[in-house]
Amino acid sequence: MLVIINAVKAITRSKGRNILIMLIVAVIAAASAVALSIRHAASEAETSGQSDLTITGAIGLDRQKLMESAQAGQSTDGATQDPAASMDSMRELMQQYPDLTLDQLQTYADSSYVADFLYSASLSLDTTGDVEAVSDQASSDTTDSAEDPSATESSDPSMPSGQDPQRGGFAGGGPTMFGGRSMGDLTVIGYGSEASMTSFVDGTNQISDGSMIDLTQADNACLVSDEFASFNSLAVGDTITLANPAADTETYTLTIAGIYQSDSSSTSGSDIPMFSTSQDSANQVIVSYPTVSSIETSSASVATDTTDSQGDTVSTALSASTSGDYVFASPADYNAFDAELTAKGLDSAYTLSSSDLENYEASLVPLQNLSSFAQTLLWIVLGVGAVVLVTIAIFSIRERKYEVGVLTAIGVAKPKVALQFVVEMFLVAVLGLLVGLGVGAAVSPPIASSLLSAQVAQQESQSQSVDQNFGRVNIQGGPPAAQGGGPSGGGFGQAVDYINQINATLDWSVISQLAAIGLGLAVLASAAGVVFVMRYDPLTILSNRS
Amino acid sequence: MSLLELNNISYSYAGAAPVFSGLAWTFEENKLYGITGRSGAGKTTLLSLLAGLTNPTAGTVRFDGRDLASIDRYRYRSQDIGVIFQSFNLLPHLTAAENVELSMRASGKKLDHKRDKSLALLDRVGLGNELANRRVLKLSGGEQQRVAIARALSYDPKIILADEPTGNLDLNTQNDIIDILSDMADEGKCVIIVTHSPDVVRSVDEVYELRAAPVQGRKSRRREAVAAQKAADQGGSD
Repeated sequence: MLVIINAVKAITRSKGRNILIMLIVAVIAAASAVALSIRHAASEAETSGQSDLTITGAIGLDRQKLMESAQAGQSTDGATQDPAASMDSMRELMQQYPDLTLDQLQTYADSSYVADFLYSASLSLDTTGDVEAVSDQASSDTTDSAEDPSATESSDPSMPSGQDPQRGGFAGGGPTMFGGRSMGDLTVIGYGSEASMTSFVDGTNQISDGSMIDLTQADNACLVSDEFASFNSLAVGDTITLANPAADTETYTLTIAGIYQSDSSSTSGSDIPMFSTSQDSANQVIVSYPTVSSIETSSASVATDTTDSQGDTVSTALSASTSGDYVFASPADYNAFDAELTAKGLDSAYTLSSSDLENYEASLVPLQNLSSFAQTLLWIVLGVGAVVLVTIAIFSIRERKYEVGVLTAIGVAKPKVALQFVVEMFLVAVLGLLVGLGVGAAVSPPIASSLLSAQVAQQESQSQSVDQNFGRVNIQGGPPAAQGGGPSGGGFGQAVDYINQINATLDWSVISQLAAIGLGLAVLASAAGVVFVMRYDPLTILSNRS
Repeated sequence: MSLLELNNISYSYAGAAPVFSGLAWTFEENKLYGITGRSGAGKTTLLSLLAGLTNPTAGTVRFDGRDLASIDRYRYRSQDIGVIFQSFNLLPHLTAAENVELSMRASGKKLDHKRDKSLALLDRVGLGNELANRRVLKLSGGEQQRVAIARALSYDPKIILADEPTGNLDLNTQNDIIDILSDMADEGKCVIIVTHSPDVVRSVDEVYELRAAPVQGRKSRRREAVAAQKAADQGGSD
């Protein structure tokens, strides 16, 4: 009781000093509240983003690693590196490591970390007869295109499951060869499950006429885009005959079971160059995976060997490009699966990669920058605040040395006197903490939003600058995230949807951390006083005073 | 039985000659003692030893038969002994009454109506309500002296130590203070006054004198003589 009464009297007696301490604590608390709420909100946003995130990953050749291996091999063989020799080594290495088969991919999919396994296979076929591939430019003779030896090389025609290629640019005639395969003007994609048809799952594509095909049957039933159907006056129930680009007498007839419309056809006229009409999403013919397998098997049975312009022997057999995507519930599962692949013996030439995860991690960059800034701010505020408070406490105790001497002389134990100083500091700190909490609660959300917007704008500016350096101008065409929350430019044409809003309100977690900080500062500041009190000798103090 | 006992105590500051040595004095209840000596003889140092604020360099100070060095001296200072310091040592930001109450609270004794008791004590030493509620800073030296006395009495200690309690007072007030301290002794307390004043020395029961050389206290019974003289005078006047 003595301690409390003395402490309260001392606080009311020295109003100026205690108001100053209270204001300092309030400023520390307000700044800490802002920093802590930003960190907390950033952490919550990251956790929330992770819980909502579905990651897909695919196993593919680690081309970077192969290139490094090829170059390393050259380095050991000769004093100087020959680029052409390096490329030959690279080709040899790539031939050593073919794409994994569906069976192999499915073997790895048998993992507790994999939520789903989506697979598809694609073939490149030519149109025949009156059917033509959709093209923005004048119609060309697609039949001849397969025979055109001057056609340019193209990117791999196989499409990742559910990812539509960009349209536009290329006129009718398709290129002939890529990677030893003949290339047609249509892409026939066989899906293993409805889940793997992500463009239908997410609503980009919708069946507008007819019905869905049976994905378990090799029945040659297909879905075509409404643009392709309209372009060729096709209707449900009609058949289309497609040919092997390398052997135009080898044909396959598909029956149109349904026609779908797509929301993704607005990219016509994009700056992205197109090498083949088969890359146009309108020229995708969707079948079941067994249908693609059946076509592949049939083609193999009638294949002949030919010699290409370079004198190499090439088979006319159609070769489907298989794509398998693993679905993960969280980044942790993705990382665990990656480690598991190595444990299961996956050759180091192959790697697991995910554009989803990369995009997700990129989307967190502004948030992480802000969180890091908030942490730095917190440490600075706490450090400076602690020094100021301890200094004030020390001066305050020295000023009250006589009081300490009198109290101990009349029999108040030193620990009680010290406790009185602790209680004084604690009471003042609590008041300051409450004021700081109020101010912090009011200013945290707008400050956090403002700082995050600045971070997002800075990140977008950096990305756009990189894109401009590579000649990519507004590939995504999305509005700036800071303004509309839409996707913003990421590197290499990847859309990064930056997290641009956080809820930096004070909750009990932040309040309890602030209380701990306030208490800690009060204890630290009064501890300095306690040390002085315990060192004081009442007789010396009173003698000096006398 | 002696309440306070000095057993051949000596005291010296570090590296200096002993201030005093070989003191073997006893102090009993119900008596008023005077300690005299010239300046620098160690009167205030001795008072500090008796108050438990420091330890003798040799010998022991015993309270109620126990060595002061072995007991809780905060408790001793807050309950068993009341010290009236020469420079009062009051807390200037508190009122006179608050200073007295503070000592009551510090004693840890269960004292009811502290406010009323402090006002009564201050009234007893001549400070009315108005002065009792005035901050000590705004009181005169004599008034502060009275507050210091009231504070020393507030928790009813067995021993009262007073260092020059009349040094700042006029003659009338001096007499008042001596009367109060005499009354304390009459009520059963052991009252020890460190003083230069011959008037005070004449009023005490026993006097101990500090000398530069080891000394033996010189006792007197002057107070009894003075009291007897007073009684005779009163009887004569009647």
